[in-house]
Amino acid sequence: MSCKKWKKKLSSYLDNEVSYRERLKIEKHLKSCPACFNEFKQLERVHRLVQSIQPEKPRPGFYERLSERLSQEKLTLREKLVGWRYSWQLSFPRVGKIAVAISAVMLLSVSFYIWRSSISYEVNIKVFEEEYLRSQQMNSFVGELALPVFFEIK
Amino acid sequence: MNPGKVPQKLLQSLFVLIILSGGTASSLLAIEPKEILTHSLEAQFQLDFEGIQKTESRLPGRSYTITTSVIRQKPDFTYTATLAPSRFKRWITLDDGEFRIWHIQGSNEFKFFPSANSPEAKKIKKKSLNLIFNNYKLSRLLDSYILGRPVYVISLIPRHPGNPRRKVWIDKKTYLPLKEEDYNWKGKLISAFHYTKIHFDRRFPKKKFYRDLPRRPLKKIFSQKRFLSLKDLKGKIRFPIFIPRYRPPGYEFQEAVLLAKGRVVELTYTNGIGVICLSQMPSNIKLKGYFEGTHPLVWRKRGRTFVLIANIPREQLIKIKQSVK
Amino acid sequence: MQYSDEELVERCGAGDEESFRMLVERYQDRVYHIVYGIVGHKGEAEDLSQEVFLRVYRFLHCFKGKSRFYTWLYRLTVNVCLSAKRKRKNEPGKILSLANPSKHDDDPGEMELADESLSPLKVLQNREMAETIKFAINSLSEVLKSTFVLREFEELTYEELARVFRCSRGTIKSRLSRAREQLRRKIEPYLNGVV
Repeated sequence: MSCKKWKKKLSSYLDNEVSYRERLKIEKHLKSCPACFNEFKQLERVHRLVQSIQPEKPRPGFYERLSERLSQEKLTLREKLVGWRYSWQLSFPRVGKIAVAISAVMLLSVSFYIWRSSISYEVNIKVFEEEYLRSQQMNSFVGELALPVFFEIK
Repeated sequence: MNPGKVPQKLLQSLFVLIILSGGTASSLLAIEPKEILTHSLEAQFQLDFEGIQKTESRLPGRSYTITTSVIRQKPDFTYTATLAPSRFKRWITLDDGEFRIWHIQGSNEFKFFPSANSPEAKKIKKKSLNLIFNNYKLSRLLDSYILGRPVYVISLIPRHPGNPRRKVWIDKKTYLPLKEEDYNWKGKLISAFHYTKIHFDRRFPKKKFYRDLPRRPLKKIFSQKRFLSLKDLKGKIRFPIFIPRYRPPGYEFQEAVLLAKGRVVELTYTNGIGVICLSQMPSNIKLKGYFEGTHPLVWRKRGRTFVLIANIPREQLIKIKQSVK
Repeated sequence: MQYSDEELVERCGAGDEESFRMLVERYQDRVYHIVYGIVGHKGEAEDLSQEVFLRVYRFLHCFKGKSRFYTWLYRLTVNVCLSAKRKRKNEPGKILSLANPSKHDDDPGEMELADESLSPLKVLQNREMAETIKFAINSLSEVLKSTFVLREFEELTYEELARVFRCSRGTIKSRLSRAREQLRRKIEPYLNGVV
């Protein structure tokens, strides 16, 4: 493998994100190739420099300032709602208002009902089998029985 | 024959007989299966060892053989790493007496369970052992050898038919179980376990094992305590629980567990070896997936769905189902 | 009582303000550090960090728990930074960089290197190195920079990074490799003691 290809792997090697086999191969190559070794040392140096940067902290009172912004947001939202109601009260004739109110209530209750019934939870059957096997394991005399559970991991 | 010699010969043979029977009686009387099992409960907490074990688990329709390397350190530390089959390969567990952490090496998957080495877990095991003494006939079979080590062999036969039976091989020197086999009432193997290698008195610095775990600060993610008693349960849930009024003889309540974020309540009953799990949840919860092989009873009643899993005869299952109120 | 992130999120969902506060306080320093690493300006870092948590508050109900909370949080953080940068690109006059600390700052935008027990000459050299490395990081493209910053500051694994950036592990690998190569080239003259 040309040095170009080795050099591409140095970053992952630095992050410890290579397989055990790869790591051995890379270490072997580094021992015999001064160019790659030098480059790796430089990568290490960069990494150390970056790591030595002091973490920045925000000014004290971060949450308080955030909280204020949050309550301001809530306020503007409320104002929007109130403003809407106010303008609504001014512009509609009486009968129209009642009709709108009734249909709004109906719509809300229907959508609420739909929302309620659409919240269906799902439980994977494997959960029951796992628990059964685990309880069985508890009753074994052996302390460390291996579990054939978690068949597939998401 | 000389009349004087007959009584002498008789006496001699009687003497030999007495010695022999006394000898064998004493070697059997020397230790009772009950004692052996009681010692065995504590054994793992008093040992440092490293070993490789094979666990076989048979569900009708599927069977697993898992090879794991195990390291135990006094008093309550366990580390296991799965070696085979390859799809379970980087699964490790670490138990420190407080929590059992399960993790897939190199990933961000990890789960917390209550420790199997905690005093709580020990209490449960002790309770199960007492149930075994009540529900099973214990007998010592002929001594044997495993991995070159002399072992006691104990057989446990249920007093009530329809229950699983067990055979266990326990190391004479350390009282550690080295092999165990469970059979269901039909005589089929349910699970088997044995060590293929074991080395005692191996010490390891525990820190080395923690290195494998993710570097994120390990937050104790589960907030629900397992091993709930019925009383604990009533305090945690707002809906009434249905309880089976009939339990097969010898079965007692072991624990209640909340699954699926508190939406499913699971009650476990045991006779010491066999286990019955009854889960219940509101009917609007959909079940997805398929049963790998336990053939449970599933039914609906009064707006709730029930799932009953146990390795006992079908009539017993139905009796339990009918008694759930 | 130590709550997990996921527990706090649930409690926030139930309306508990105190849990939201705990969540913010748990992550505010880290988010700020990352944002500062990406935008390089203190005032903006403060502003954007607040924006991150505002979005957390607004969209907490969208967090389904499919990933870890911090993965979701860092994704939000990166998005906030990148979209801010995009906005700024359209207003060229307002581009700020580490090399030109703005007068709007309250304190000088310096990141001190950790070791202070050195001779004045060393301290000076270190400060130069600090400036150099910061400048070099800042010169990376937005995407490379944010990947690099998250990796170096938060030590996320490649898998976690892939989840944050919604790309493949291979992409993360190559991004980090390119970022490091660029930084290495920029720093090389200094490393050889020429300056």
